[in-house]
Amino acid sequence: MRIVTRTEIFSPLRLATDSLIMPPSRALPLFLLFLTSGLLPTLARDNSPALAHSSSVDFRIKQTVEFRAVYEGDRPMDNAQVTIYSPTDPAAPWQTGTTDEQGRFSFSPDQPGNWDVKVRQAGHGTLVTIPIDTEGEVVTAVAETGEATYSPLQKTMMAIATIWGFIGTALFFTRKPTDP
Amino acid sequence: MHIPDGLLPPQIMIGGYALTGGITWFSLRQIHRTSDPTAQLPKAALLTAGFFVLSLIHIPVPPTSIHLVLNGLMGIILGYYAFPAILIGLFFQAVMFGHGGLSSLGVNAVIMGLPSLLAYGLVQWGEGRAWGMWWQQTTRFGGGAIALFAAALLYVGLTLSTIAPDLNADLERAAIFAALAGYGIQSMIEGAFTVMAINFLERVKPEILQPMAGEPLRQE
Repeated sequence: MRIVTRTEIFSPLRLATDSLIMPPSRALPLFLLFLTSGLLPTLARDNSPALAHSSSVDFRIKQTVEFRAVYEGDRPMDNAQVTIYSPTDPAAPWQTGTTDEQGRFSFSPDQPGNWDVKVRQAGHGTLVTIPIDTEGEVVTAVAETGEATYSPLQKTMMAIATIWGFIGTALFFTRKPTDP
Repeated sequence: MHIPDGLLPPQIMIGGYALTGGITWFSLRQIHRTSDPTAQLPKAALLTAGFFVLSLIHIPVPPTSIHLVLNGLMGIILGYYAFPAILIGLFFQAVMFGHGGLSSLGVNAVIMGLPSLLAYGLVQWGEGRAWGMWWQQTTRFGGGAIALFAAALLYVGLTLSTIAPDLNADLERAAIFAALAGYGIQSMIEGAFTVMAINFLERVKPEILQPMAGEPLRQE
């Protein structure tokens, strides 16, 4: 089983366009209108209390780590249980959840450090550490588990070498006794 | 059904190693008692190679894919050599491809190796009875199927009893039982494969079917 990770920086504008399914050129005015709508009561100089009409949107760019858990042979680990541990508290789960149909899961780390991700399903699973650097912007390394990160050619060569070891053992013990 | 590193509590890992040590000692003692302990080693080495490489070959069985274990066949052909052979095969699977893990090697050897000795005992017992060809074929099928299913039961029992407290126990239990159903189907496939392999070997090279030197599989 292995985990494939990728990071994405989600911006609110991007989210807005995604959810409205329209090109950014059309979404931008709408988005600005949405942002400024909170100012309208202030502009109207209405002294009566604005009941639940005043609204504002403040946004920040948030980093999201998305990973995909697959069994060997690229079969997704769907509905596998995910437990995420923050760098400061490796004992208590920081977030739990399940992967989707494609074995994907994403989370938004809020501090730099080594984030431990445990994916488990029916006794199979893995623990992977995802390092987040101090800027909190990019993942410094692609997390790798101890499993199946070799190319098929490498695996074949390793299998052949090991099998040759077994064959050598067999040949050694089938040798004919030689006279001294 | 290879349990990876880090998913079982340490006392179970250590217990697995202790049990594996005991069974390996017992198996080696049985091997040492035969007239020529090294006579069967070439066969054991080649079957270990087969066991090692089988875990890389995925057979698609919709909606999932399986890889054959054939621990029953190992037991029937190798007798007491099967346990050390499986232990060595699992070691190389863990080191080379990360199937299972080094800390869980003992547990995995018990899960797959103990049922192979069970299959050996069952087929030895079955072949000793002259109850006809169908009986003989049934015990061979049973040897292959029961070995895999017993391994699956050990695996399921172990994973069910050690569900980590941070997991959703119901969800994990459902996933484990779904896996057990898959192993049920796999045990039928392995039983059928075992029958075919034993019958083939019996026809072309019957001397292979002497698990322990000086102790023929077929007691006629």
